[in-house]
Amino acid sequence: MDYERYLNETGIGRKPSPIRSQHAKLVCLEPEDDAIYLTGGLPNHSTFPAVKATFQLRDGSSIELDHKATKDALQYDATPGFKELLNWIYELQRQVHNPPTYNNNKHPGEMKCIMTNGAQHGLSLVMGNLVCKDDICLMESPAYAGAISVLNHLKPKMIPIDTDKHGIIPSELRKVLSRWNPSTIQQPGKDGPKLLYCVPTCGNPTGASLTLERKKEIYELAREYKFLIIEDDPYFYLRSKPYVPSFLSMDTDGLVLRMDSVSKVVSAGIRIGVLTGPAPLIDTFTCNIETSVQHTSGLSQQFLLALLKKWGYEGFFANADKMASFYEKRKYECLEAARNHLQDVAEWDEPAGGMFLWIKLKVKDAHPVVEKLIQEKNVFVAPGWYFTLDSKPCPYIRVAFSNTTYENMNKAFESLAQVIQKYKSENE
Amino acid sequence: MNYTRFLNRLSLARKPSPIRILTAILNESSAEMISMAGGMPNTQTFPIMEASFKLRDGTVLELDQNIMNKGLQYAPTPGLPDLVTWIEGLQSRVHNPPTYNDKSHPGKMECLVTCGSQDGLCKAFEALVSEGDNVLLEHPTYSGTLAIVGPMAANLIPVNSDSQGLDPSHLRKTLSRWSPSDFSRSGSGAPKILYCIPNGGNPTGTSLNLERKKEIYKIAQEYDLLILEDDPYFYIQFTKPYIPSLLSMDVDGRVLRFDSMSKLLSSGVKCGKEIISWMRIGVLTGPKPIVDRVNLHMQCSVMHASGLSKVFLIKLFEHWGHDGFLEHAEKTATFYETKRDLCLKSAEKHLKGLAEWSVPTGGMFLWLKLNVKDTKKMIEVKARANNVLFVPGSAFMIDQSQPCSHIRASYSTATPEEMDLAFKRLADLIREEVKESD
Repeated sequence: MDYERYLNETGIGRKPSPIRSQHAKLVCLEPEDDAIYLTGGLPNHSTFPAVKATFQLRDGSSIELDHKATKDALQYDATPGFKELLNWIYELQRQVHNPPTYNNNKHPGEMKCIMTNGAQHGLSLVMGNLVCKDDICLMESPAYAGAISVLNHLKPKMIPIDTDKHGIIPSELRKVLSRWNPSTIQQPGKDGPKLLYCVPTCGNPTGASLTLERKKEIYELAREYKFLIIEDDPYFYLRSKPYVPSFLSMDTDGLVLRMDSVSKVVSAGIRIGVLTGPAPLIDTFTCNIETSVQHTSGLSQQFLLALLKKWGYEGFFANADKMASFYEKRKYECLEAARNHLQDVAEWDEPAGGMFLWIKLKVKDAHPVVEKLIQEKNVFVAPGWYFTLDSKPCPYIRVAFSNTTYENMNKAFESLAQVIQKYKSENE
Repeated sequence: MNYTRFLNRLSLARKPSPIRILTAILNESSAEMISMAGGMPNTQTFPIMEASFKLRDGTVLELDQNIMNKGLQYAPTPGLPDLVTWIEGLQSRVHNPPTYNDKSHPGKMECLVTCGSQDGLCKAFEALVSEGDNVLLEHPTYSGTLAIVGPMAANLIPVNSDSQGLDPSHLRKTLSRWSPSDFSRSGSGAPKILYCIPNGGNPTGTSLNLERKKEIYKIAQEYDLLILEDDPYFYIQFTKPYIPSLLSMDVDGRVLRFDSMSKLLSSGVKCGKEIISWMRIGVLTGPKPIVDRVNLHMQCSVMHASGLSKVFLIKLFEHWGHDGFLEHAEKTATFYETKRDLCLKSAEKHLKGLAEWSVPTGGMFLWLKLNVKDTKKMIEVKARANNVLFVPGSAFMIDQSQPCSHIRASYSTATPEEMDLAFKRLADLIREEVKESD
């Protein structure tokens, strides 16, 4: 695999910072006890005002972080993430996905993980270092609004790939790809698509999940046409077990960049995500982290590490399961509320899980309806055009059921039905 | 000021994400409002409820469920409102910028909480620099900045510094290559930004005095430059009162200022090879039209800095007040001043006649010029073998392939005994090197 082919000029130009690389060369040998380093400009600990942090958990137990824990967490290179936390994550990826490139140093795309400042940060590292103006990016359609906004200013050509209630439709993807010849696609000037972006589990905004068969078919197309799969999978753990195998799990060729998030299973505010993929690309992203955020918040990482150690893998999965049931209950409440009020004015598919219901209103354009809903009823939902690649009229809306009570869902949908009826009588 | 002139194609093309706009509307709406718009996880699913932090002085800060939920949930990009207000108050008190709270000023001062000051710096450069641009950098300069601008394929122009920091006369001389009319003409190649570290310079340890700052600001006005004031060592100045910042004299709204919380509040932990600071919280202060661009970049990348770090800081800052913060800053400066003195004592003792240096007026670094032609190999091979390490000066140069006689020594974490032994070992190495080249 020639990974440089996928990088843009900025990505290719990234080099490890001189201080870091010099020190890596020197210090990684075997630091001796009496060695004295007057090198890094690190602040002295004794000026730090806090000495101990205690976190009270919901289950009544608690976690303590003291200065020794900080020191222990930082024995190695911090840019990719605290070593112990990263080790925990590598093992998690092995247990859950067991990628063919895991621990395979003969593979040019050996699997590597780094900690990012949230999964969205991972997505922005990927797009910022890969995509050039006019590059072809295949996007599941509709697509997560945050992915569109990460790409928009880079000005690639985004080609929408249609989806249904099981996500991307492989035959649609094949149809789009048929304009290229796979045998010449890697020749200069014949640049085929560079990547395919999708949210494979409980998609945002649609709530749809790809089946294993579809994933296999899409992965085969990626191999044939040599494009990367950007597997943005923040809702992976919000589906109950058994999990549908990920693209990463079938990645024999090192074509998958996967974003995992702890936002939904631990906390969104601590800003921790994991970016997993082939080493040559991950190393480029690491250089970019080093020149920008340097590493994700140590307090967040330490807290997460302490929590994961306390939980163990079993505890982690048990917690994820609890989250999945929590949101599943909400989903059924939301579907019930929708049936109560929206049967005549809208249609929808049952989401596989996650946080969203994607509703098609029986109007041409949902946007004016949403505006009236906000102005007249004080109810906020997201209009569907946020998630489309063109700004054409879109009859869909996205509603999040993650944070609303059953009572409020009913109120919201009752209001929505009234606004649609009134709008239709006035306009259609 | 025409801010559009300074922004590159990429940055100008950034648009606010529609969902984030909705979040802003949402924040202003009434309590009866029902939102099913955002994709917020439910805070009831987060495993933590409360936290407490024990401070060095014995005080315990309690973070109740209400504030913890703010830290654990998605939050506004510029920072939690309480934290931003506190920081704006601090900027007003310490710098009193002419653009503070001046709504009619096109460059009204705005603060943005970033994931460490380096992230603010990186995103600012990414918004301002285009391929082929001429960029003015104080030289020698912070290696982290070189790593940021390196991949941008810009033309980096060094502006010399001496024992008092960036030299205004050399700045003027450098700019004289262009005619004044070039500076308003796009495509002329005239530089648009100047980067400098005004206090405790990294690697030089030097600081700009007030006269030089005034002169530099005047030149920036003449040539319509934006100044990137990277000032992580502002609170580690060894002379009091603080020398007024470039931000404090910014009548036009042309200063982007980067403050770091790491040096003051974050526990740096020695791990052999790099700077680790715990919180990853920095502050970008500057004219709203530019700060907003960095904000847009954050929205679609990091989203916001760690909520845990932020809620801890809010509690700590509320506990301290601005007075307590400034007191802590003063204590921190005194701590480093003592370290500097010990470092200088050891240097006097071992390196007289073998090296030259000027006294650092702030920060954490001593910049030494050794009596050798190039320090790179000497440090990387021989010093390593002798169990002592410094950073070779070439790491701070735009052209790192040229021989360089300097090294940077950091006195922040080494003990007096370690510094003494380190300089003794260095002295032996220099003597050996001198002998070999004779």
